[in-house]
Amino acid sequence: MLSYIIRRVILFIPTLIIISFLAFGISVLAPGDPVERLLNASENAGIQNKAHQASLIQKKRHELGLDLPLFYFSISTLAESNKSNLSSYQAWKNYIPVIHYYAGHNQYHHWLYNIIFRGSFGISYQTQLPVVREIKARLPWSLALSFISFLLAFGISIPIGMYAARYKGRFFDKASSLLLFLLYALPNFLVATLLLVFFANPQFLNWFPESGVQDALNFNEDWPFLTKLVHWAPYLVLPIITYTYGAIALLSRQMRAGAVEIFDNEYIKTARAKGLPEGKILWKHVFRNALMPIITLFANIFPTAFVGSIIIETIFALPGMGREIYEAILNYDYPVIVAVFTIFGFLTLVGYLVADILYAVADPRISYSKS
Amino acid sequence: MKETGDNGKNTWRIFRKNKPALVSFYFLLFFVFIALSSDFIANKQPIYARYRDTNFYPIFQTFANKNRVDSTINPVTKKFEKLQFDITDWRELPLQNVVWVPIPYSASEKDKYNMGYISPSAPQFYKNADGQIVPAPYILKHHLGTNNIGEDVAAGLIHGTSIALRVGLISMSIAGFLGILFGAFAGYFGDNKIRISRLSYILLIPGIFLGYFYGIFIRIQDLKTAFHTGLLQSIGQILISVFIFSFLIFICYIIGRAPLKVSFFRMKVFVPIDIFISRFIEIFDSIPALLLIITISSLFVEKSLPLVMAIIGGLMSPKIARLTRAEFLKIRNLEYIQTAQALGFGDWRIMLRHILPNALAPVIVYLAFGIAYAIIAESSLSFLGIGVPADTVTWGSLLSSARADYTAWWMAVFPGLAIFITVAIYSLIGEGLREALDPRIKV
Repeated sequence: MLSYIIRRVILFIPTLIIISFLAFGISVLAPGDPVERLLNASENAGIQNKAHQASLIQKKRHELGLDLPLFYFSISTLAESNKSNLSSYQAWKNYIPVIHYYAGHNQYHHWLYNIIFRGSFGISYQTQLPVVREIKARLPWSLALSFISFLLAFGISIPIGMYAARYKGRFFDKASSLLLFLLYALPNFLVATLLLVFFANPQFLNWFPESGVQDALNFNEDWPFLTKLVHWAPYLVLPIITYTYGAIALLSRQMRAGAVEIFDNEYIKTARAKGLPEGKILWKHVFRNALMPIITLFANIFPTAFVGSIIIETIFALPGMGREIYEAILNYDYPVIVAVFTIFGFLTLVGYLVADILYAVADPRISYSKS
Repeated sequence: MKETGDNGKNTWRIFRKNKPALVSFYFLLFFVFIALSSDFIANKQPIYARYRDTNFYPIFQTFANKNRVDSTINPVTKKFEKLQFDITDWRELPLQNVVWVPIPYSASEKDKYNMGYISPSAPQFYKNADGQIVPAPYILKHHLGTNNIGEDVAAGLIHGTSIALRVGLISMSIAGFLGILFGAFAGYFGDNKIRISRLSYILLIPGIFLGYFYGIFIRIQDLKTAFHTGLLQSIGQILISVFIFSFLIFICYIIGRAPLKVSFFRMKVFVPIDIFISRFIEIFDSIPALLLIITISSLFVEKSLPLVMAIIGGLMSPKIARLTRAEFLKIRNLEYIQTAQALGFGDWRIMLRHILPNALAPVIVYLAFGIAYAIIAESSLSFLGIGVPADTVTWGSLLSSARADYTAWWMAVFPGLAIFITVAIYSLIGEGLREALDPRIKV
């Protein structure tokens, strides 16, 4: 088992490195100059004259290490690399490749070094705060929302899936299948918009607040946690519904499919012939064996909980990770984008490993040491 | 294992028995019909109009000539007046006789008399032939309401149909092509089928470098220009780049086959194609597709629909590659493939004619679900305002107008219904295909 996990981790390292390349590449290719953005964001941008601003940009660029080359090496043409010497320009020099090697003095190396040895993902261009602190502030919202909705989804969909499989082909099965299918085909932004139109709208039902998580006028930071929770609750109802319905559809279908297969087995017939009560057969014999496909979904919980949902959090204006990423994308906040992608890749690895371990726990026949 | 060749009929027979799937299929045909004839369903120009004793067929005439201009004689002043078809507001003319299309508005036409979220049931106005603004008659009403800038929702839905169908079809064609290509290579050749001399293997690195330099790096300007010019030029330039790239790698491979004295270089080693492609698939598996689609679409300053389709297609292809790879792995060890190899058939022939037809079933099922996903992805992008040009009316962009004002329920319900029905149709067709091709397929 241990050797399997170690092998799995080692195999994942190149993937993780390439994900970091990908994230880094995305941020490098992104249009717009981050330094100008940063300076515009700071208050005294408009006051200085142009020459002063240019020197300021130069300084800031140096400070952030953005004047360094991007990677360990770069490719250019011979003509480009001796640009300073214009007199020696010849057309053929455009067709000769030149490789420059920069050793450790490059942006990627510094970035990697800071993550591994300082645990730092750099400073957000947008808020000028460390990215790690940003993520720490936003993460609890996404985690809370995801875990509440995962619990709800599991709690609702396991009985639905089990009973649908038990009464296969009867009314309950058909009705629930149809309903779940309809839910499955509804995109989340549509559900979110419809919920807002019908339940947060003075013209229909004004049951829930439209967006955000708290009322700026009434909210008090010093409240005890329970009071805060009561204050937050109405804001979170619609987002949680939006988060949950899709998961319910997916989980119930998986649960039903898994349980239907188990019901066909001879040992279920034996259990019935023995006169075991139906409830015991359902939950002790079928449920435990039908759990395997559900475990696979555990692998996705970590990363999904981390990233929240871009669309749901944007629509409901929740201060979670999804909205953080969306804002970072819109504002070309590279450090945040790169950090999120890298952490995401890492969490996916953790998810796979947890699922593998759960498999081995749930089914003793699975052994990783042999292969 | 079924032969797809002679069981096409059989597949259709089973598919037909699945009533929801069959109904969905007919619905899809209906949507295709709407998309093809959208200009005759929603158009601000009439089909036929009699104006100043002359017969006009504006839609057909604009069809034949985009900038058609006719002259008519003003009966009062007896002077010639120009009638430019595409900018004339036919609703304001004193027409003697007129046949409108069912929705007499175009998709991105701004109706200045009905701006600011006019509900389907609210009073609506139009400017009549005498220049007065009066309540609109039934035929000129916005039956599904308007958005903030006065665009007709029904017309937007009709024209959005063709965009949604195109996005689904084109992006999944791209995904299917790339996915099958890479999946087939990974599955068929695996890690121990292709052997080349060690020198060739080592020379691949400079080969890729040179291929990148001459194929892409120094051609970057040409490629960018082609992307701005059009689809055909883009494909042409990409093909030239791919050709240069492969040619240089091929040259390096040939050099690597030189009969050297050093046996270290001459020794044959395996090329682990499967490991490379599987790693690649794994990378895309660890990041949710929608996050990548949103991120990469936002990188491009210029918004364009073909680009969005290419991004969605490219990012969906690893999933198809994984399915194809698994099927190829399974099939390549079957006896009939070994027989084919023993008969001396070439790899290409075995892959294309003997494995591919039997490996397609899960891919086809996935494509149906993938089209549904691509439509959701595109509407999510339009909903967020990323990637799709602002003047292109899509279902997602219509729905996003509801975000600005939640009291405008018609902006959420009708486009939402359109997206929902299309996604449901494709999912049901996918289920039907799964049942007809092989119920054990899991995608």
